[in-house]
Amino acid sequence: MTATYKLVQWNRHKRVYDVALTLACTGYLATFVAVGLAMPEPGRTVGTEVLAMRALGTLAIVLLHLILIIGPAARLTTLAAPLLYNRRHLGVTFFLVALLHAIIALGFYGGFGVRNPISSVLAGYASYGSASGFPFEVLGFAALLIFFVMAATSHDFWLAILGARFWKTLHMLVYVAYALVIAHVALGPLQSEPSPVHGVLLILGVVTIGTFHIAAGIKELRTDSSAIDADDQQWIDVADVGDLDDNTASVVCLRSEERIALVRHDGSISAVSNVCAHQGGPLGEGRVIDGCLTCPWHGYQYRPADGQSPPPYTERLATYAVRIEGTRVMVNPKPNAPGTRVEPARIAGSKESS
Amino acid sequence: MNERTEQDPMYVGYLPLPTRHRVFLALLIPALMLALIGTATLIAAGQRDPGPAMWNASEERAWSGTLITTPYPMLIEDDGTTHLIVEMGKRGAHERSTLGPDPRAAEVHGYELRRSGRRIIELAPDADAITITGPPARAHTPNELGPGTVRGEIVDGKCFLGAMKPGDGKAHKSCAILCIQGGLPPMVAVRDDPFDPTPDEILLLLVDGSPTLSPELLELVASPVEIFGTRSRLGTLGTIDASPNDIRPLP
Ligand code: HEM
Ligand code: FES
Repeated sequence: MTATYKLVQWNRHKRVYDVALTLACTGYLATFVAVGLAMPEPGRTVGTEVLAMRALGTLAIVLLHLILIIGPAARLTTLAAPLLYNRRHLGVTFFLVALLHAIIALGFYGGFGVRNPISSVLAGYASYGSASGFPFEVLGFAALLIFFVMAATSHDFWLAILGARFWKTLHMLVYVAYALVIAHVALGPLQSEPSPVHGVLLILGVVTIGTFHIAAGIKELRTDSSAIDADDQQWIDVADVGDLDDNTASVVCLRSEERIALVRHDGSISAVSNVCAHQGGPLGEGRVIDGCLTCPWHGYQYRPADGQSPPPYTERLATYAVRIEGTRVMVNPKPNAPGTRVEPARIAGSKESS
Repeated sequence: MNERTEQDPMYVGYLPLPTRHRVFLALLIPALMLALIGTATLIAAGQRDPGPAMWNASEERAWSGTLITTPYPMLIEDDGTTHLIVEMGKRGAHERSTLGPDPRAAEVHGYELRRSGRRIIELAPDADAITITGPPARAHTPNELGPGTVRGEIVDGKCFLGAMKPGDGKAHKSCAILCIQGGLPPMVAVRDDPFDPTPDEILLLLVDGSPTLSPELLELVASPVEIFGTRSRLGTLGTIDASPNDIRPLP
């Protein structure tokens, strides 16, 4: 465990984020119930428990779409960074909404009877071979289990315990859970709702998510295709000094799929791993703030020369040797152990600020 | 090399919000809120009409007539109006000790459920919700109408007549099965259009004379089915009696 997870703590942005999120959720639920009670003729309104179940279920799936769009959106434009910053709260809120939906479904459809509510909803029928007999509740349950594990391990405390790779794999399961939720709706309520609204919105949702991911994927591929072949080379030419602005960073892709963040700061150039030690954010898209390379995702900071977070934090990045030949920046592609100090390469004619 | 297009300050959560992010969020947040309200309106307004079902759970009433227990507990008033009798929750009334085997005059207390001329009394929770008042006023024999085929959906009568809205369809399948397992009356909502909120007829379903469904038939609850059987009329209640092989799923 490190001290760093304290960095991403309460602050004004998070409070604004949470207030907006709470307003959005209550606004959605209130509108759904009000319209549901007002629409049909008197005496033909949908029952209140069913209305609540539907309001919560559909709010959950809307929030899930937002969550899944924010990732690729942040890769496409840095404007989306504020949405990414507090995505964990969005995730946990989503989980609580979905959980409430499931509890009402289990209690109302499964309760008051001669059997255990859970077994009567999840094992009351099981014609897996037909659309009208497929137990769609089981799909929702499986998705909810995945969301539970994700919500429970979403705090950086768990990231530190489980390790970034395992944690990330765990969180990739969200796509499995998303598919389960889509099937949950398609094999459940969609089977008995005549209005095309549900189906059309569902397809629209899947297409939107797909489009964002494909667009972000294409952008990644472009970056990769400009990768530099580093095999057997001692030093590789990665950039021109003139391409780098002061206090900014930029990404260098090597064919070996390694990525390096070049940082220009204080008249010198340093090179560290592009992968943030927090959740793998792209450091080469960050900036230098207060003398530290700052991650664009949650603001973790590293000193350019040794890749270390300033005390009391203990995160470390691999560093790379850098030198300047004429106006060309040369990097040695062999990473140094995380936290190894490397003398920054001075840019001829530039002066140190202090 | 990755080209850098913008030189404006980067967003960092714990630092003041840069202007371009402020502008972006000032547009995005209201737009998202509107989209959310719009989505809620669209989905809520697109819900299926649950039909003209009514459950008067706040007003206890009394009915008198002839009480019979086969094929299903029911009260037939003197004018023929027929009420199926069930317990609170998802349970039938078969276990009431006051229900003797023979038709007898009785007074019944409880709450009314009603839909398209079909009626159910949900018994009040007290032990004397059924009081036997004497011998039968009038004998009731089923009026057999002959064989026929109907298409529709097997529902549990209590939910469909008003305890749940909607009380039919796939979303409600597990509940309907639980209800029928608990002894609530299996009924057939007869309709050509599976989404029609107002079925032509709601029949009590009997399988070889009994309102109990086998596990295989329970799987067909809340799905479109075709039933070939003998139709009868008991008071104002229509029934269909079929053998298990004559109840088939429709594609
Ligand atoms: C144990 C877990 C779950 C159970 C038992 C369950 C049960 C149900 C039931 C019975 C319905 C039909 C409601 C009705 O129309 O009457 C439903 C609908 C729905 N569920 Fe779930 N669900 C579960 C988990 C989830 C999860 C995790 C999501 C995630 C987003 C979800 C999203 C939805 C949606 C969007 C609908 C459609 C609402 C509508 O009918 O318009 N469910 N669920
Ligand atoms: S700060 Fe979270 S990934 Fe870099």
